[in-house]
Amino acid sequence: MRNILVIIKKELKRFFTDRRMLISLFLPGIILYLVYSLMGNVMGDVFSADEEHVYKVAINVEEDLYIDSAFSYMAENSQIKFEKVVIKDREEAKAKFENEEIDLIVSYQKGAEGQLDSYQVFYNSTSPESTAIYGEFIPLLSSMSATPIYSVVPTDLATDEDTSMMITNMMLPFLLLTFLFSGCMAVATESIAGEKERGTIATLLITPVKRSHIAFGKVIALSVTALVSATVSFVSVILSLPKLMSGSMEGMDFKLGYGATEYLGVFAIIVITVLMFTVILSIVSTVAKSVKEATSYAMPVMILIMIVGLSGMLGASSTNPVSCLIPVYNSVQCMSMIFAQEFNPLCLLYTVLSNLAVIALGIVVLAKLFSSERVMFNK
Amino acid sequence: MQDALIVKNLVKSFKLSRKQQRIEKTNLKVKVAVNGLSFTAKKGEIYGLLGPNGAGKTTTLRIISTLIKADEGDAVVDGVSVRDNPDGVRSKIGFLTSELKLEDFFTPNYLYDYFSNLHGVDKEISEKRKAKLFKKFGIDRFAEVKVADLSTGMKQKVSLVISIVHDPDFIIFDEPTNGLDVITAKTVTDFLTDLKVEGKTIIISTHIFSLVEKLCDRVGVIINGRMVVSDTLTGVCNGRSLEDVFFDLYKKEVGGNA
Ligand SMILES: Nc1ncnc2c1ncn2[C@@H]1O[C@H](COP(=O)(O)OP(=O)(O)O)[C@@H](O)[C@H]1O
Ligand SMILES: [Mg+2]
Repeated sequence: MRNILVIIKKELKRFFTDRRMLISLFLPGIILYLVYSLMGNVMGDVFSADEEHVYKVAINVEEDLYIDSAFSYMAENSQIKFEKVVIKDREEAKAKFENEEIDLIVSYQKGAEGQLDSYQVFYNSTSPESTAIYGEFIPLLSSMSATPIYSVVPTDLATDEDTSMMITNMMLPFLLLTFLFSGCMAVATESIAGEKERGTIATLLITPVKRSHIAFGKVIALSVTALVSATVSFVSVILSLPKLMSGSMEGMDFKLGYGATEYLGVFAIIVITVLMFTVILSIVSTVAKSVKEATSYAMPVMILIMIVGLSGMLGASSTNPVSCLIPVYNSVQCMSMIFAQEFNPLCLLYTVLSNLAVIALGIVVLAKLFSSERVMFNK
Repeated sequence: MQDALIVKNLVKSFKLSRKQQRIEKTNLKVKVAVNGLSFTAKKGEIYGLLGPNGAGKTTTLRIISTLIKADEGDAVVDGVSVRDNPDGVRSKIGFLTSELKLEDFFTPNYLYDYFSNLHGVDKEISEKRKAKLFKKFGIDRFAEVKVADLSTGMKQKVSLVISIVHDPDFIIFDEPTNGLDVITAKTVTDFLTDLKVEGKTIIISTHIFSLVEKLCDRVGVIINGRMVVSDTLTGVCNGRSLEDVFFDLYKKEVGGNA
């Protein structure tokens, strides 16, 4: 036990005083934060709904009983400032809409012989102004009239920024997993395969310390280090989320307001995932003869993780808790669910349990490997 | 004189990987590295295992140091068997090889404390011993310099000192002067002589005749994993040079011209 502590202390000293190690541990988290806050700021400027904004609603008729009463109701009961603009020409209205001179188009359509009149509404789902006035005005209009309302959501107005924004949001679990893995990889391969490669591990193996204790010392030190790096990533996610959310929009899965439960959930997932990565990478590094070999073994694992991480971009696709027993996939699913505010405690529980099982099994394997002369003295 | 190390009938084979088969130009799946090897070393003497590359010297020394396990046979160090009590053996021996490296990132001072700690040496005793050894080898001049910035000779000195932090009665040294420049090699051989004077038992392996002639009290010649002869240096040589004796034995064992 004492020896395990001695080894842990030395390994930690190594990790936390070596500039190269520090960079590979903390740079990913910092980059994550920078990228996301940059995105958040850009998006935020584009999308924050301005309180002083005067919402312009284009109508194609001078007068309409329902439209006018909806307007007067809104004038009395709502905080938002708005203005009714009459534009008879459909193309003119559309052009102004595209230039963002107006936020909503309500077009009255006389019904054909024997059919009801109707309203056609144009709004832009990627514009907070347009969605805000749409959300406010259309429910009013429909509650006042018996006339059907057809909404048209022009998507061509969604700019490149909107799209990249959406992708960035969905990519968060993917990026997080990839960054965490690469951080763990740099440290684990260096600490175990590196020592084998340079022959320094033999110096340790000839001490009276038990092989399993050497393995425990290494893996615990690596886990502590990985956890510190994961915490940095986690903090950067927390700091990034509000920025992202301020730039988010309705119609997407992201809404404002993450509570303590969500944050704790994300943290639990990150911790358990990172511990699992550490154990897997330790095994890979023990089997390999050199850092290069360990890295080349770890690469396919990383690619697999990236692919699974990409599945998160499709959103929380499965709510079946049993699918939460598959490691890595479950981390992604859980994170996507939480980001989409569909927190499922059962899934989280399954995720934690299945990862713990992998970790426990991995540690047993690792201790066996350290005791195997074939592995430790492979030529 | 007392027997300090008794090696009985050691056998060790390795499974060969495809790559190793290609390197060794063989179709055999296993390589018998040590084949029924026995010898005895006396307390306070330097014993030299002499043999060509691939003879099985390193394998033998690794078995005695408990780094690997023999398939058959046993080695008994000061009454303790490597088979029954490997941990007990490890606290009695110091194992050194020219392949044994120190982590670049740490200072000699830190590494000394680290290994001393792992060997369970009492802190006070360790400090005294460190001061003595560092002074003797001139390590105190660079005790706080990272290993990465030390010269090969300095590194070798630190390695030597660290292998004996626990003041073992047995020192096992695989190819002590391999890859060292003459000055560092001299430091190493002087070190071994000093240890002998202190009453330690030392086992070295080498393929260098002059090293055995200069240092060793006893010599065992290993060829193809078998001990061909093991006796005092004078007993083996019988007035001839060690080199001549070796090549005679080698021809008899392998056949043809050496
Ligand atoms: N881990 C191993 N795996 C496979 N073969 C090995 C291993 N270690 C040693 N050998 C083989 O055993 C033989 C003896 O090796 P070794 O003991 O290192 O010889 P020496 O130290 O006398 O040069 C060599 O043929 C070597 O290739
Ligand atoms: Mg050798």
